[in-house]
Amino acid sequence: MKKTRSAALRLTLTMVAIFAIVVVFTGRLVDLQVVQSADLTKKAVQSREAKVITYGTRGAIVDTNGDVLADSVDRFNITVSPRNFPEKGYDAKFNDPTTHVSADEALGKIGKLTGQTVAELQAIIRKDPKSDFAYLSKSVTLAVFTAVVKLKIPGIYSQPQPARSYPNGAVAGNLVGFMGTDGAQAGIELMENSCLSSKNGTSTYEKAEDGTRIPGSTVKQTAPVDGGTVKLTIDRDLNWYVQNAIAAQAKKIGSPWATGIVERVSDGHLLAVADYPTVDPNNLNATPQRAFGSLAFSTPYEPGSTFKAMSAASLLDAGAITPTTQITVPSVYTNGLPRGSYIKDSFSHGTLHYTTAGVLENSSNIGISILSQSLNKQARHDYMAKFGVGSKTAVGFNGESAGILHPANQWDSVTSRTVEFGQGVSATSAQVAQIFETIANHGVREPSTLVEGCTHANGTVTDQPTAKPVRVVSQKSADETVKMLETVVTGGPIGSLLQIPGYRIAAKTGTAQVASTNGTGYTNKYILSVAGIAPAEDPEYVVLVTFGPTTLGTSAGAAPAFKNVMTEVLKKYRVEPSTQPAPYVKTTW
Amino acid sequence: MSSNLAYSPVRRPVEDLVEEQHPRRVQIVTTRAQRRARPKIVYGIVSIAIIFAIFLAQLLLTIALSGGAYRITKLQSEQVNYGRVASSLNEKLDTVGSTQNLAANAKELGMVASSGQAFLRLSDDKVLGNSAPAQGSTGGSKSGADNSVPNSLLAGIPLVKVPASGHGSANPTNSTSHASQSKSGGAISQSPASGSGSTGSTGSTGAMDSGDLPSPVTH
Repeated sequence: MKKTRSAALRLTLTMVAIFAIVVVFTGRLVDLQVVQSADLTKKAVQSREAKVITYGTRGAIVDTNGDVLADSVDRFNITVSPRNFPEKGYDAKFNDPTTHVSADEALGKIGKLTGQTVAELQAIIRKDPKSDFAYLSKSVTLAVFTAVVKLKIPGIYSQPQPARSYPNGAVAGNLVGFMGTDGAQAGIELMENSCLSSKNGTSTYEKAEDGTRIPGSTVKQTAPVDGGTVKLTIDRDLNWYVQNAIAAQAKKIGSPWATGIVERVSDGHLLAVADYPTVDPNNLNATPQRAFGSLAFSTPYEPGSTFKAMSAASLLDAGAITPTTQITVPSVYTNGLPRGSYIKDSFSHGTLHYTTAGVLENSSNIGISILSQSLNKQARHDYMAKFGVGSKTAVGFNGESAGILHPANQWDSVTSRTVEFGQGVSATSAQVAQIFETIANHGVREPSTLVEGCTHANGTVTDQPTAKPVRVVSQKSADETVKMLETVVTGGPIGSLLQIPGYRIAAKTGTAQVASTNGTGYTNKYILSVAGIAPAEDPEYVVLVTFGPTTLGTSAGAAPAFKNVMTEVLKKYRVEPSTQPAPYVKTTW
Repeated sequence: MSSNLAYSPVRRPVEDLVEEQHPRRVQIVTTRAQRRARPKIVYGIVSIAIIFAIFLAQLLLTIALSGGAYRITKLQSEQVNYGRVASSLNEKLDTVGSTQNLAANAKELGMVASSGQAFLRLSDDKVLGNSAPAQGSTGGSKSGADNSVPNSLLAGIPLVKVPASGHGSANPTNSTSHASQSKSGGAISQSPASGSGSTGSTGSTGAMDSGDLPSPVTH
């Protein structure tokens, strides 16, 4: 009986113990599997999960033919973990037999690839030996990167570093702009930044210890979005030619700056916008900072006689004059001017008998002043504004200037005349080119265009030009102006320098004395320009070359560059030679 | 695979103990029919074999999957590498294809830009414009001589070498020796002579490109 009782007791105790253990285990199990389950699962996934950034590529800038002007390229930073770098050398295990490589040997191998000395590299590593990160060499090419990785030196790492390359160097460098460490700095890079920029994506997956994705684990992906491609209206080869042509001529006549513009008449597309000095975006240090922008858009100047073409077209359109209006041109013009003020021509002469065409042919300041008397100044001001003087072009280039066109009520009696030949008013090269585009395009101003559009990664196209064409003067008055401008080339003082055999050219020269900076009178320097239209019988292209202040006082200084550029344009775009000679226009009476 | 790992084995030992205290006197003998109805060992073997086969298949499948995962990782990194190589080669191509490089090479080969503009109209075989031989006196070659439009990327990229036999000027021997080296080379060496518009614009107006069109090689 006693034995039975003790057995029952033992049994009971065992039972209780087992039960207690089961309860504890079950409780723990429920706690893990039910209560903490969600939390633990999350933690487990997190420790396996890897988030990888996938980089989008910044878009390219291409010319009208698709030739690349700016593109993104792969560069790599070689980094080091000074803490893990073997200062005492290491055993190169991948060699057979294993060899010992000293730290200096290893650094020597890297230096040979990156072009650094061992001492330089040592200094980087020893600067803070306990840190885990330092740059050894920044932005190395793929070839260097691959070679360094192949060395398999412990403690040496790398990271991708997207960079920008401008394969055509200074060709359209002033337009394309450049990137700094903080992003886009100038030109199209900055203007079209929202189109060009890319968006980085992420890719999240569960990875094994060696970085391999665990099969069957879910991948969460946000795809990177590459930047769009900006297409310019610029033609790379033509721009190169114009840049060369104006640079050569500017050096010859001692101009500190020059611009050259080629614009297509039918749609206002700027086929070339050249600046001198020019910037090579790959090598900004070689260029003075003031040349970083585009002078053609940023620098207004008193254009001088090229404005007479616009004045004549305006007066024709208003019905104030005709191409054959006969005027008597005295040796000085004083009509209505304050005592002591006068307007004279660039050449001294007695009394001349010019028609409107003759005034343009000989670029007579007195003649255009007399002609402008037949229209009030407000109307003349409004024509100028309609031609785009005083407002930015549709391009809206960054740093673009609107030039200065004072309201008509601020024109005094002298200014009221001088504006007609481009003094007392200022315009950028882009605006002057636009004026001639309007005259060539039968009186309709097609908005100047530099960007054809932005093609995004998904194929949509944005940023296409939106500005609408504007009728400025009637077709008749525009076409008559072109005909009159032909006399500048056929019979004008420097006509022989502008003629291109086989073609009819209409052009206007400008020799504008530069106002002194203290606001009193003019200096002995001139801004020279030639604006021209070809072929005159059916205008297709406008060419404008402008040379900054030079002591050379004749537009003959600008003529050779104009002729070279126009010849190249006619040749490049395969314009057929004119079949008829220029019509005779009466210039004197 | 079963999640039900915990169950209570408490009650059964108690019943066993009770049975031992009252051993049965009568032995139950199984009938033949009953004995025949017992499961045969072969069924067990088959079942276990099937289970093992499933295990094995699952193992192999897992191995294949993880092998595939490694392959994917390897191929993806290869893809990245090839992408980088392609973009680096593209970069190089864009650089050597730059206007400055082409112009400098053309000049080195003795080419000159044509000074006048003449066109051959195919419809009536008429020569339009001023068809004088190229002098290279105006425009392109002269202004291209000085480095007004720099390109720092071209530093270190050598110009083409003119073969020693044809050294000196742009004479026909020069271009023929070039053409004999490779058949397509003839076509390439022709186009820059027609002007700086060697790229892009050739597509639409290729027929007017030059007077003596290179005869195409047909295969």
